[in-house]
Formats: sequence, structure tokens, C-alpha cells
Amino acid sequence: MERQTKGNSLLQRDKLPDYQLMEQIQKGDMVSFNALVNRYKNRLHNVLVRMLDSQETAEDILQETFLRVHQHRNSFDFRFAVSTWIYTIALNLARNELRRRKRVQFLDILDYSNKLKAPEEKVDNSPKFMAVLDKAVAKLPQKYRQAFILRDIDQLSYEEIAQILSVPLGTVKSRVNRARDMLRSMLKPNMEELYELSKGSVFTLGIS
Amino acid sequence: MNCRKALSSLSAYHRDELSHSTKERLLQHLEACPDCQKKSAVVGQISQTVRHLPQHELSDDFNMRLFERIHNAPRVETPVAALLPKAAPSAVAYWGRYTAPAVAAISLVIFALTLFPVASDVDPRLGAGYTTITPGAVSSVNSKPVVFSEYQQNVRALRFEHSLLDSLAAAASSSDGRIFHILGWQKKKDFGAFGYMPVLREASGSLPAGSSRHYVLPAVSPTRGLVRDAAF
Repeated sequence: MERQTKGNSLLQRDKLPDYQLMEQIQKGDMVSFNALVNRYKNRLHNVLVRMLDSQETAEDILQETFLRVHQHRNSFDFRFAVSTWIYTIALNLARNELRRRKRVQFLDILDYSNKLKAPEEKVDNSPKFMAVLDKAVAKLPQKYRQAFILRDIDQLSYEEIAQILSVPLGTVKSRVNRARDMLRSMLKPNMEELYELSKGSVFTLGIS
Repeated sequence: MNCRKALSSLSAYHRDELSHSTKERLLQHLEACPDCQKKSAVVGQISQTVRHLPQHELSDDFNMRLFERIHNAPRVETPVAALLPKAAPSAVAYWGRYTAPAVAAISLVIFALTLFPVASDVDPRLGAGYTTITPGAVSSVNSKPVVFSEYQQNVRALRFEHSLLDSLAAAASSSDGRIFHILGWQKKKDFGAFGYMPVLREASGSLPAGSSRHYVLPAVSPTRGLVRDAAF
């Protein structure tokens, strides 16, 4: 009987809202912590990979993020959303990493071009336009890229992004718009291809 | 609505972010403009594809390694204020911090341009090509100090994002008596269209006796509007 109850509650962890998980985590429940990690790790990992152009670094930072979440679980302020808290920690760590890279680059200016972090090569089974789009996103300047990734890829709300990046709402909106414009310009050479694709997609022109 | 406006609204339209009235006007325009219809289809395709970009996979042992780290980590409690999300600042507070440097920058540029043709001493420590503005002449510059980011003992780089004005303001006002060469300017894609980063190196030697500040502004490119080399 006891085992069954325990089993049920383990299953239920996945269904608990964030703040209830956090309450359990504050009581020392590692199963809840595991559930929280599973809930956010893949989303955040994708955000970080696109920000940092490196799977490995993204994973390290993600580890550090959750380590800090755990270390500071008792300081979590329930006025905030758990997700915003986790994202803020992750993005701050990622930005520290980007700053560190810049420092390294400028210590040796002669070797500058070699030290620019090139996106890691990976096996790419996705359709060609997806690869093109993926590369175009990677070319966006960092501050626009961050806002764009959070909004258009990760689909967070503008309000959440403003909190995570600690910039005004209007600034987030303009960064996202600017990123979208840049992306459109970068994809101009692929316009015909994209147009052809759009004809075959479930997506319509938006006019009836 | 014209084509230019329509184009700038398309992404927001496909993310359902437009107000009702803007959406109506956009749709009216699209109905009448085949070119924008085509662009709308393309933008829609981009918006849709972006949401389905390939996912990056985490290693299988991610959780296991994390739990090991947690198990082995020392029990540390650092100040939590830095970890807490802050309320997003208001636009006034956010942009207000640029006001003082901007004012300082404008006054400094006006000031530097006035002095530039007059000052022509070549500082032997810096080599030919540097035009020195005598220290006494700049004592009236009243600008708040801006803290440099430290990179290494003798190499400092200063980041600026917006324009020449910002760079001059930050550079001049952060002088603490040491001399720096600007080795060059790096255009950085990270900083967007106007991103330049001066690469600075602390120069050897000391300032002329009695001077508190020392500015060397060798060349202003009239076409690019950039100070290409400077020590300060």
C-alpha cells in the first residue's frame, strides 16, 4: 500500500505546477528537483546552444544553472515565476561566458580571427532551408539573437523576456522586431525557395 | 498602409501580435498587393520554420552528472539578490543612464574638433602620426568617470555600441592619468550594425609633469567619421 502511494506521487510530480514542485524541493525532495530539471532542461539547452554556438558549453552552463537552482532553493521568492528565475540564472551565466570569450579574444588581437568561436559542425539531417535558417539565426548579433530565441523559438511572452533580460518591455519588442527584419534580409536569397515551400505548407497567405 | 509598413508588420502578424486595427489595415493592403502577399507567405514560412528548428539533444547522463555535482558541491549560499529576477526597468530608467555620457560625449567631440587643428605636437613615446592635444587645454572637460572593464593588466578594451560619440565619451572620461594606445577598431558582428570595439593597450612612460590628463587624437576620418587611432 505504501509502495503504491509512493509510486503514484512519483508519477504526479510531473503534473505538479512549478511552484508546488519548488515547495517540495525546498523540503529537500530530490524527486521533485529531478522533475523540475526534466521540465526545463531541453528547452533551456536549446536556448543556450543557440546563444553560445556550442553544445558543450551550453551543457556546462545548464549544469551550473541547475546546481545554483538547487543551492539557492531556499531563497526562491514565490512572488516570481520559477521559470523566470531559472531562465534568469541561465542567461546570466551565458552572458558571463560570452563576456569571458570577448576578453580572451582581445588579449591576443593578432590571433583574433582564429579565436572567433565557430559554430560546431554537426550532422544535419534537416531540410536545406532549415539549415539555412538555423545558420541565419546564429548570425544575428547577440543581443537581438537572445530576444529572438526567447520569443520566436522558445515562445516566451514579451513580459517574461523583459524580466529575464532585465530590459524594458519596449526594448524587448524592438529587439525582436529588429532580429526578425535582419533574418528576413539574410534570407532574401532564399526567398523563392521559401515561397515555393509556403505553397505546399499548411500555412496560408493569411487572407481569405 | 503602404508596402514598407506592411512589410514591417508581417512578422508580428504571423505571430498574432498585431492590434485588431493594424491587422485589418494590413489585410486590406495584402488583398490589393500581390508582391506583399508573396512576402507575407515567405515571412509566414520563416515564422513557422523557426518554431520547428532542429532540437539539440542533451547527453543521456545529464541528470546523473548534475546529481553527482550537487552531491559533491560544498554547501554554499551566495547572496541571492543577484540571482533573483528583477522587474524589468522602465524605459526612462533604462535609457536615462545614457544621458550623462551622451551629453559628455557631445561636448567632448565639439571640444576635440575645435582643438584638433591647433594641436600638432608629436609625442616621441607614441611615434609619428599622433597629434597631441596639450593636457592643460582639456582640463575644462567636465564628464563623469566611466568605469573600464578590466581585461588584463596592460590590455584594456572598451566596448561601445552606438556611435563615435559614445566611444569618445567613455574613453576620455575614464582616463585616470595613464596613457593608452588605441591599437585599432574591431567591428564586431555581436554589436550589430554600429558595433566597434577599440582595442587599447596601456602605453609605457609617464605623463608630462604637471598634467593630469593627456589626449592624443591622431586622425579623424571624414568619410567614416571615426577616430582611427588615439591614446588617452
